[in-house]
Amino acid sequence: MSQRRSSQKSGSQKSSQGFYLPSLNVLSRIVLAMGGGYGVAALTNLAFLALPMDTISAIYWSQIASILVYAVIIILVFSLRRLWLAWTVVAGIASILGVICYAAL
Amino acid sequence: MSHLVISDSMLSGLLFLLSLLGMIALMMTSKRHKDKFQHKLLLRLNGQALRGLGFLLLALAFLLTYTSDQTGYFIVVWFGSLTVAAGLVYLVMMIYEQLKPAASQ
Amino acid sequence: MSDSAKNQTLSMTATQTKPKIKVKGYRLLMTDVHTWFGLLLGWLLFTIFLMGTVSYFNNELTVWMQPEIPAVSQQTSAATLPATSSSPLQNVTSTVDKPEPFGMAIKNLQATQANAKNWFITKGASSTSHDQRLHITVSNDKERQHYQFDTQTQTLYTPRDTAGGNFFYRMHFDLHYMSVIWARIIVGIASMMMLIAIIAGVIVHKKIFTDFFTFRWGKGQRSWLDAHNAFSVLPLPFHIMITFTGIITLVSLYMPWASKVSDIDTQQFFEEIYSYRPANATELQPAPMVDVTPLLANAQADWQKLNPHYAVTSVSINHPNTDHSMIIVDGKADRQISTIGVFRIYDGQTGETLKQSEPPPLAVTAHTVMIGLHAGRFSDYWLRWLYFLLGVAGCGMIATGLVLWTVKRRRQLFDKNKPYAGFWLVEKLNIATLAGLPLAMVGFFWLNRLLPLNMATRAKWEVDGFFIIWAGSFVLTLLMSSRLAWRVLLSLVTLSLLFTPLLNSLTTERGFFQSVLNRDVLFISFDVTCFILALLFAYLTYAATFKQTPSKQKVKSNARLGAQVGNQ
Repeated sequence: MSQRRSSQKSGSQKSSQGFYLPSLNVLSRIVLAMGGGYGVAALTNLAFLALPMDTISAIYWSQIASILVYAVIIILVFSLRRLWLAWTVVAGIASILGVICYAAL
Repeated sequence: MSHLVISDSMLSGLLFLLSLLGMIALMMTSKRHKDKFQHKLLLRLNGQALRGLGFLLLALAFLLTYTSDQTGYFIVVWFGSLTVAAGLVYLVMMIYEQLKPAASQ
Repeated sequence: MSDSAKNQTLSMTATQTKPKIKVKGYRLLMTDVHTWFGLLLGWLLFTIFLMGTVSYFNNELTVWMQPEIPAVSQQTSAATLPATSSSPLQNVTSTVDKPEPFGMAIKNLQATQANAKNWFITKGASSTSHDQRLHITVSNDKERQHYQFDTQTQTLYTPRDTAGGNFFYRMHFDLHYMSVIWARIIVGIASMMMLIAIIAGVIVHKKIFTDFFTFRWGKGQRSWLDAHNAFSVLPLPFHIMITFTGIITLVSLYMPWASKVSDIDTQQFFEEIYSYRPANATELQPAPMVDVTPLLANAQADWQKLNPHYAVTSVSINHPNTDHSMIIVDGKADRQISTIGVFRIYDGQTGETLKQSEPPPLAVTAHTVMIGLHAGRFSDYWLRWLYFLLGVAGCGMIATGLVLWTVKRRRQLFDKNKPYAGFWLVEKLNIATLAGLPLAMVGFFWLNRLLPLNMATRAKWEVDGFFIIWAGSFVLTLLMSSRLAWRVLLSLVTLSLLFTPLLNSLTTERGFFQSVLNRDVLFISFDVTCFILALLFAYLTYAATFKQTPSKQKVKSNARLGAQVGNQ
């Protein structure tokens, strides 16, 4: 039980000076959320071109959608309890989108 | 409804009035304040009905925006009315609690 | 294993306990996400929010900062009754609904600036009640000059060299002293972090609706939290909307990939959507121009067949009085939220219609509606004040959040006089930004009145002065103890606000009594607002002097009022 609690904690510890040093778990999530999230958002932006609408509309809708996707991915990365799951989910979504983009472009 | 001719200022006023009444109703059912109103209501509306009434008034206000041909604009006004009404009710209750600290407990 | 055993023993509350452990840990995590995403760039976000809030009145501030241009007297403008305005809430009589004023302005320009590269004439913002005033920008190869033209008196006015309210507007997304692209990227990152902080905040605040009308007065940290909640939860739809639409406004910078990869001819696309055409023709021969007024009337009449609320909003003439002259007419619908209107391009020599805009695709309209919601330019008087008020609440949200962080952790300090580096940094940044930025803003207005009119690069010095004052607050904060720094800076803000109306009456002819006689609502409002803010900052300074720790009232007001500085 204590194991679960500690893994549920934010994963930061106070150092002797009172700095909050984020653990590797949290750092990893930050990188995944910001970098991976942007990647997925960019792929969403591209993937909309595969949809059956005129290019201008696709571009504009995809821009709106990509920001939504970015926000969702960031929240998701910090919500999934298991770190490896977070990486897998993001990588999975990116791959699917990547395939769509590759097929369409 | 489309034959109803309400002037712009009347519509804005109505939207605000409905929002205000709705917010008051919702406030009266909120956990913090509902005890104040238990014995004061003329109609013996229970919490759920009152809450429903509150939301109904807000929804009615929203529908009223369709009576104007500048609906988009008045939807913004509707959002604004909700916020101002909520803020007003909030402030009034805050001041009320300040003035009657014993009664609020 | 032990967990499931535990769940079985707690039979009645089993369904509540199990998710509670999970949810409790999750909420703790989200609290940390909320705190860090909010804290790291919190001071930048406060600046962005404050600049943006003030910018809802940027035209009004510009008018205040150009006092030598006489006010539009309510009496003269009342003589011409409005054609289409139906709302008595608009305190403006709209004389520019007919195109004749544009014609008058053009006639004036023909007489004075016949050989410019471009004349750009636009209605002032309706909220400045200067509809009988047109704003003119004349561009030549070397320079660009700004004027205001009064259609009643047919006079061209030249304002003093000042950035005006537009300094705040630009700083809101271009920051300053840095490349525009980098500034917008930084602002974009900050906005994204704010969006996440808001979402995390909603997740954390699980009783967000049951606690909706709750406020606990005077209970230290609890009151801080309640203040933070009040500023955050009540205007929550606004905060979400503003943050999201703010990102969308600059989204083509953040997500250019689709348009890079696709085979869209961006130049052609822009020419379909936007009316701007560069005035870059060479080998010009002088040639007479057609009378513009009937063309405008024609365009307006055609547009009003589609939507009776349309009116001409601006006229831009490239290479007037030459054989390459082009008349670009823009129109917008009254209270239209989308930032894109209709436009028509005429040939200046023959009056032939070269282009009439088509309605853009829905996706583009969605985009421009979002921009419109963010900028709020469609809003009339009351709605604009509401935008402003909610923006102030946003500043209050950020300010109370930042102070809450120190209040919460001050209790946990081992030695209150020697806090750890992070705490020290946050506290110093809080003081220098939350008190220093309002001071710099008031200082900006003072410089506008005090710097000599014929000074070279006057506008630049007003802006540099703003930053010098802000930097000074930083220095002050570092040199003094935190409590003293709060008091000193807040006192300075109080005094400078109090004396701003006096400064105005000493340095201009638009002092308070003059403005009351002229029924000049804008100047009156500015003075009154300064006075009210001064009173409130006086209260804050008093509270800072006699109370050990800042009370809820102090920072709640500090936040709200620090954000209100510099507005009418």
